[in-house]
Amino acid sequence: MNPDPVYERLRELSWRRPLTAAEQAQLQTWLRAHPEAQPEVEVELALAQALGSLPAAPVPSNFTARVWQAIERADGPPARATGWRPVGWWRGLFPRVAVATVVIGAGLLVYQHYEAGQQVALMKSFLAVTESTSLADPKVIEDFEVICQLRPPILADKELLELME
Amino acid sequence: MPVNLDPDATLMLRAKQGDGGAFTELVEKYKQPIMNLAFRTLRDLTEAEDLAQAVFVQVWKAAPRYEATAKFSTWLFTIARNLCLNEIRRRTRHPAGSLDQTREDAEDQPLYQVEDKRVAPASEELLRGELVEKVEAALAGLPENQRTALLLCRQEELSYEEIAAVLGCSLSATKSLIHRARETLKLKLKPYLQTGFWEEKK
Repeated sequence: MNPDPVYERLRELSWRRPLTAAEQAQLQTWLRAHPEAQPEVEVELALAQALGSLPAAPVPSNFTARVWQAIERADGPPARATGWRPVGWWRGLFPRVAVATVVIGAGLLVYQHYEAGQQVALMKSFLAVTESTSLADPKVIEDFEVICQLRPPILADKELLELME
Repeated sequence: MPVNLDPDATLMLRAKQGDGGAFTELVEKYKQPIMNLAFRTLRDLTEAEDLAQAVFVQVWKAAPRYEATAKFSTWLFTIARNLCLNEIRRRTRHPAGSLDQTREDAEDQPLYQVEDKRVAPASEELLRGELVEKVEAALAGLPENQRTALLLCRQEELSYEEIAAVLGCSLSATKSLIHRARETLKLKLKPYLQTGFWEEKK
């Protein structure tokens, strides 16, 4: 399409609203100088007119009342300018704090139970060790020093025995 | 806060303080544009009503956080568009309940029936009805962002900057969306547009 600035401006205006009498006159003047653009301009204007004259969607007469009813159902009046609603804030925080408390409490209980179990098990194994490792009779180790000084036993020469066989 | 607040932003700031009257004024002013956008996006009157209602409920709920940093209408249409997109996504996830499908089945039926109080409708009205139906169908065939850009531009007369803010894209991208939407519509509707019915009234 023609990039003429006059036509472009009028065309963009026609997209947004019907052209005023002055603008239409300006367009007619431009068209007299550019008769080849006549069919395209007619289609442009017709489309603008068609879009502009589309019927409005029907709005129920009680629309505003229904909006208010929906608002009342939703949550009532808005908060003041501060945007901070203590009741709403607390209402939102309370369940979270409650859940967190329950979770942490349950965790502590489980940990305590585990710790107690560990201590009992340790005590049991200690008792078992002390019972099974009672001190030996001192007579058993009476000749300990002598035994330690004995030379290691002379082992048979296995290779010689094998050759003899 | 900007020095020159638009009147709607002033009303919204009053609503933020709990002024129900100010909020009612805003609902009264914007219920039609929001319904238009919702209806042309969802193509179902009941769903469009529910969505438009949800938009205003959300506006009320978001009032404590409202800051008049932009035009109120930009903020409002952004909420409306986001809810429309959520609904489109919900339909995609649950295609069995898609009303688009119903619409395809009833392709030759008008989008909604308006009571005709005359005994014998004039042929011009019949032609208008048919043309409107074609335009609606062509509009419905556009990608969501193109359709929303076009509707906000033409029907709600938002500026390109405001439309860009609603769509979350650049100014040039917004202009490009509108241009592409119009080119597609011209292509689809050329035979109907050339009837001379839509000529700009002098």
